[in-house]
Amino acid sequence: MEHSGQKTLYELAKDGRLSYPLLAETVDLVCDIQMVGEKHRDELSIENVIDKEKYISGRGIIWPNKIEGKSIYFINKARDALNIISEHHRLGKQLIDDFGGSYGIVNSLLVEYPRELYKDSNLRNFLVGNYGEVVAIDFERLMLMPPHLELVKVLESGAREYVNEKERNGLIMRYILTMEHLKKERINQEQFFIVYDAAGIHNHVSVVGYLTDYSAVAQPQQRLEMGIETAQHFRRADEHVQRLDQTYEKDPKAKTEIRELGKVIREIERKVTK
Amino acid sequence: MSGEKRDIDLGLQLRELINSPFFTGLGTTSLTFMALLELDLLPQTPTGEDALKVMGIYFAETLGLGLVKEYVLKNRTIIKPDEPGNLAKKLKYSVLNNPRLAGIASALCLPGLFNVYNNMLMWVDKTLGTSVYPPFNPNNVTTLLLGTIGYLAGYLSVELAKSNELVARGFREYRKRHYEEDKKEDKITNFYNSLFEHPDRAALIAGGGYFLKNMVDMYNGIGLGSQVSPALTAMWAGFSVAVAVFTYFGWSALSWAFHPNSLSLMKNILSRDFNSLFHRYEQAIKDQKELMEIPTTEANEFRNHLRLGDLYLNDDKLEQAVDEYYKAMGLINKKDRSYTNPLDVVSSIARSLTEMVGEISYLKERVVESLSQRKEIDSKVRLRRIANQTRHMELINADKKIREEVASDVLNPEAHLFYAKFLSAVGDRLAEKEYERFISLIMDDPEQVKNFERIGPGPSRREILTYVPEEDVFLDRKIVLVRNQEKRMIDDEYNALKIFNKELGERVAKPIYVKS
Repeated sequence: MEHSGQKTLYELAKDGRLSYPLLAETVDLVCDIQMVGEKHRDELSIENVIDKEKYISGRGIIWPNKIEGKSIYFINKARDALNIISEHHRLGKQLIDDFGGSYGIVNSLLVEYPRELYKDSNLRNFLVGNYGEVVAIDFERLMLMPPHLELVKVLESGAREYVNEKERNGLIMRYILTMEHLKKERINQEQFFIVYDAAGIHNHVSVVGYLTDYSAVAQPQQRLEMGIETAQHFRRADEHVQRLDQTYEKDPKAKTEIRELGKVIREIERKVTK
Repeated sequence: MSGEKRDIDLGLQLRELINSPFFTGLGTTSLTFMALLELDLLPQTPTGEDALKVMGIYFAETLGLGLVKEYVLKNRTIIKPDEPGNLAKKLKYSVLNNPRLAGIASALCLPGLFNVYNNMLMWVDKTLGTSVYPPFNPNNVTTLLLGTIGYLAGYLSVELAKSNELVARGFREYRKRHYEEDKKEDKITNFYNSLFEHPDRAALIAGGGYFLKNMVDMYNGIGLGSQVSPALTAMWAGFSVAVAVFTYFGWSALSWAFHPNSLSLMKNILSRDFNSLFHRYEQAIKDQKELMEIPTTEANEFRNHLRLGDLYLNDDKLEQAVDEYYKAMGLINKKDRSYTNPLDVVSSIARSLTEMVGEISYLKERVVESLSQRKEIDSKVRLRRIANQTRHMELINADKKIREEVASDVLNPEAHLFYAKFLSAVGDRLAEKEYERFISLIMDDPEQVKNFERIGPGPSRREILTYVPEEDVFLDRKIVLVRNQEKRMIDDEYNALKIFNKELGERVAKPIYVKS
């Protein structure tokens, strides 16, 4: 009998053994977790970090989190990641400012979307049981976030391509249909996919910040792997930018903003991966 | 607890007696019979009617014991609504989850209903001035028969309704998962399936059609005496309900035979049994595995794992066999069923009929076991025997055995872990204590500490670890430990997990918090 030990989905993804049914089960589990969050919202300690007045960065710096009453949580969060990257790759103040300026569209899409329970559903936080069942772990910090951030973590974290675009869209649709069924309300699919792309950009930029920080103390071999992973995250962020670019065909203002953001991300990528 | 004697033999024996209502029912009926004879409540030369009375007593006592077994001793299989519902839905599910009680209610109601029916027929005759419908006056025997039929009708119709509800739900789930491939061919298949998944609709159409036809006939003057009367309308309504009920049963019976799930299930069962008969176990294992891909109830899933375990055992694949027994054990405490197929009802009836055979074979095994206990046997074999206990749902006996196992080696962490897993599987709250004992033993042992694996990247404030035992196949690896956690975070996460565990069961891991 094979004794593989208990693996996380992340480890399975790294070994190239993460299957579509496992991901489908994970998506279902995310839906169920979010529904429990909705049912027991008053009993659970759930932070609404997006609407807080102050943002505390990873380095302990406190920034205002609202401008004219509107949350800039995701701009702050991304700028945080960029500052960390800058500590190691000297991005320059201008580039960080340009990035903050062009990130408004991603921020708006995410801030304005109705929120669900968020428990950080990255693949490391799911175990695969002995009978192939998916088991959620780590409920340390619960927050309210647009649901796309959970989904993007399930579908796009890790270094490998484990689902193709068609499968990924299928799984997003699965999430939409399941939530429609559970909540008994329609979800605007087109809008959901747009916000998913925004969440994708945000997730990949944040992960690059985390990887940069961690690779500074990692072993050479690990550092090499993280370098490859960083490049993949940039590529995926760019894919999401391209998709948003196509989506905003009839909105020249949004299109300009997205193109500007794409340009800045590619510039950062050039500096980080050179 | 490991070393202490908490065997309350009398209680255990009583539980075992109630666990076998067929046998115990025979015993209690004999006692009642003797008591009735002693009290001169039964004649020394009983008539056929007295024999029926005794049958009635046996039926009632077996039913009573069955109720105690179902509601007191066992974790009942309960289906929950797949989405929150209103009061009517809650009521519906409370009926669906209590088929025996529905049977009793129906048994109590049926003689009364016949009385109403009788009065109705007399009323029809009186209103029409005819003597077409001879009144039916039930005596003791017919009342007993009606009660029995009423019980079976109530019990079976609720079981059928439950099964149909689950079938429809299973297929909704299937469609949800395969929405992408919902093409034309699938629509035809879906239509074919849906024909058999909705006997309630078939019953409604048949009953409604029958009623409508007779109403039209009556108004057209073709029907009985060309008369339009409330009495006739009531009578046709009554007959239409009967037609609907018969259609419901008939349609469900058809679905057992022609539903695609049933067809594949029957094919696989036949092939598996044929291959087992000629000792072609590899092929039989393949059949069994295919059979297990068909959606079924948790209870059948449990039996399927046992069956596969048996096949592995016959094929000399001990570890796979034990693993299957373990999987079966993991299913013991599952109360919710998500899907089933129409054959489940047939198999559940067949199971209750073969329960007696099962009891006999269990008694035989116990004799063999007691003989083999004289031999020196290693821990793994003993553990395998414990897993085997679960084959007959003899949890009390298994519980006793495991306690003996733990008591014989209190410093063996794996025994504590096994016991913890067992208690957790049967839903016993003592499981947490046993987990704690296991953890405290392995944390003291430098050799064991290497069996912990960290989840996620490297050293951080908070570590999540899993325990990966070296070889024992019984020990589930789904043990999550958290260390170096802040007190406030522990409280928050612990509270959150209580809610998530309650709502989502084993789909959420329950970590054990340990000090660094």
